[in-house]
Amino acid sequence: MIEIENLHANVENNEILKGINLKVNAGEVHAIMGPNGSGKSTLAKVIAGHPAYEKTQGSIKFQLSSKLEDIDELEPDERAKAGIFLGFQYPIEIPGVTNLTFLHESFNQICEAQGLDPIPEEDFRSFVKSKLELLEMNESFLDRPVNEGFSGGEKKKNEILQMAILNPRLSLLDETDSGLDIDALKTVAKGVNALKSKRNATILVTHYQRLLNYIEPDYVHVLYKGRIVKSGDKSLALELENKGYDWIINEL
Amino acid sequence: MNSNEVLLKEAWKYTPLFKLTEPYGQPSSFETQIPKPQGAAVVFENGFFNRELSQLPKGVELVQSSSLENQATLVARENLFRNRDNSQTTLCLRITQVLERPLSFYFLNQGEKHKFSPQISIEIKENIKLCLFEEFLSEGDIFINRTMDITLGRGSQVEHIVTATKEQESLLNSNTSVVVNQDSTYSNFLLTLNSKVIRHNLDIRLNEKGAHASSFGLYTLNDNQHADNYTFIHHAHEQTTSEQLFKGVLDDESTGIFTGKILVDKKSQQINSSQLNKTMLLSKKAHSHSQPQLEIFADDVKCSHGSTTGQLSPDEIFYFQSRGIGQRQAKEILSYAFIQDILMKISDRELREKLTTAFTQKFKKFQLETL
Ligand SMILES: Nc1ncnc2c1ncn2[C@@H]1O[C@H](COP(=O)(O)OP(=O)(O)OP(=O)(O)O)[C@@H](O)[C@H]1O
Ligand SMILES: [Mg+2]
Repeated sequence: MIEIENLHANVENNEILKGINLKVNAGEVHAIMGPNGSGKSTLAKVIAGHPAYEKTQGSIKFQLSSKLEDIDELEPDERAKAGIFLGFQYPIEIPGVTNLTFLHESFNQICEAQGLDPIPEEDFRSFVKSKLELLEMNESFLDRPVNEGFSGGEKKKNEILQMAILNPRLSLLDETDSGLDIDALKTVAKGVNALKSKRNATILVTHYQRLLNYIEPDYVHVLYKGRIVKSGDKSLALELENKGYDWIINEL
Repeated sequence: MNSNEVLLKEAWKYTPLFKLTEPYGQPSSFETQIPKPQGAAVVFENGFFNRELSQLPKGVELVQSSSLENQATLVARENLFRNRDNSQTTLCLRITQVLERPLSFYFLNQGEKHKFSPQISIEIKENIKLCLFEEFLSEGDIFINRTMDITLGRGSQVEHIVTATKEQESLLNSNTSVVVNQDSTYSNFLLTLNSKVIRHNLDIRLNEKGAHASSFGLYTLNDNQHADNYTFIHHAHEQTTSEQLFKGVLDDESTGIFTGKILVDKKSQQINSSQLNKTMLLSKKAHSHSQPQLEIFADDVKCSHGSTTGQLSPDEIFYFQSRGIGQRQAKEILSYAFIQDILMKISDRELREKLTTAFTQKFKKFQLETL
């Protein structure tokens, strides 16, 4: 699905990512953990193509048609159309644009890229309703401006709603669990699990083992100072929960 | 220079109209080839009221100018900054019934270096609700100097939209004087998008208790378009209220100007007034000028004012892109999002939709380069 080799990236001329290697296959769930400021969100944004993050070395290859291809030249919207989805750690508020308009526009763009016809707004609304139910969200969210005045947890749910609508092949979920109450966490996990299939993959960035009780990862990686310093299976997350990061850092 | 001359010079600082309009002379023909839009309307052709083309709905009466004592005209005469053409005859209308549909005014003007001066005076009786919609349809390099005086009878509610939705090369100066009487509400919309040079002079006098004025404006400009909104709200009586919101989106080498003068007389207590001007600059070469001028002589006054200038946010654009929406389209949607709240205030659904389309189309002409 995606293959990242020796990835280096800068933000405002500071090197944040210093040689990341990561391979994710279809059907897999990977969790990325690591201390604050280690570069987790940076990695997610570089993959999604944020213009403020400059890739300086290495390669990101994504399965475009049948084979892995370099995505350097793809604009962020082209990456989205190719099936990459970024669930933001801090979702952006867009005053003046309703959630429905935003979702509809986005859905139609993705349809168009896949050679499908756009769907009219009323049909789209009924399609979205089923997704709202899955996430236990009220329909009134559709008529409010995107994320404006949403609580922290509602914003995160809204990200998962977008993911459920766009049905991406690779989901990068950046701390989707922070700010969620226990019930909301279960609902969101249920949503993510419902969308899981052999054909797609998920990368979860999280600080808490708790999420991983609901969405079971195949691999857990620790990102520290711009590098993946340890990888393991889900038991690594438990170990981190108990012992923190010091023991890994001391091993380096 | 005497003090009046200094004031005049200041008022026309960004739009030196007298100089700009020197080359324009009176037209020789009163006919145009511009088709009149459908429906009941007051039609002016090359500056003059055209009775044949016009269709006045029930409740709109033509009256002899001498018989009409329009308060707004009297107030307007005192105002220095007007550009009234005294040689011109004035079309006088009296509105005596609630109008369900907007009363449209179409100004069809065609020429080359010609000047047109339509003049209108409207007296609105008590407890009347209506919407006035003015649309300028011009061809050629011409100067239009339109004057409108409106007096609102007690308990009236009037919405008034001034726009030119089709692209035109003309230079437009509008002089609007309004007197708002007891418990009346006047809402004005100056919607600029497709004219080359525009100067709007808007004077509103809140004349009696309970009078309210809303003054809204949009100017979405590209190339070297120029829009100058010169507004004056006079709280001439106690317990009057006003709100103002002007929004500009400026691309290329365009210029957008807002001057908001608010005068509260010494005897005018219990006043509530707010003013806000927000501009979005989409190009380094675009110019924006914002000048609040508050003259408050009473003490019991709530008055807020503000002015902001911003740009499209790269993070917002990225958010759209991350959802598959291209950069260009994201910028168009965000530009429209910035102005939509003003369009949403238009009560007539058909007009609101027509104007929404016009502004959406306008953004398609923008460069929307990344700053
Ligand atoms: N736009 C930016 N400008 C300057 N520095 C930045 C920018 N974005 C990220 N950084 C810096 O890059 C480093 C990595 O940030 P990043 O957001 O990737 O960390 P993170 O691992 O996601 O942390 P957290 O767990 O707190 O979310 C931090 O030191 C941060 O300050
Ligand atoms: Mg982060």
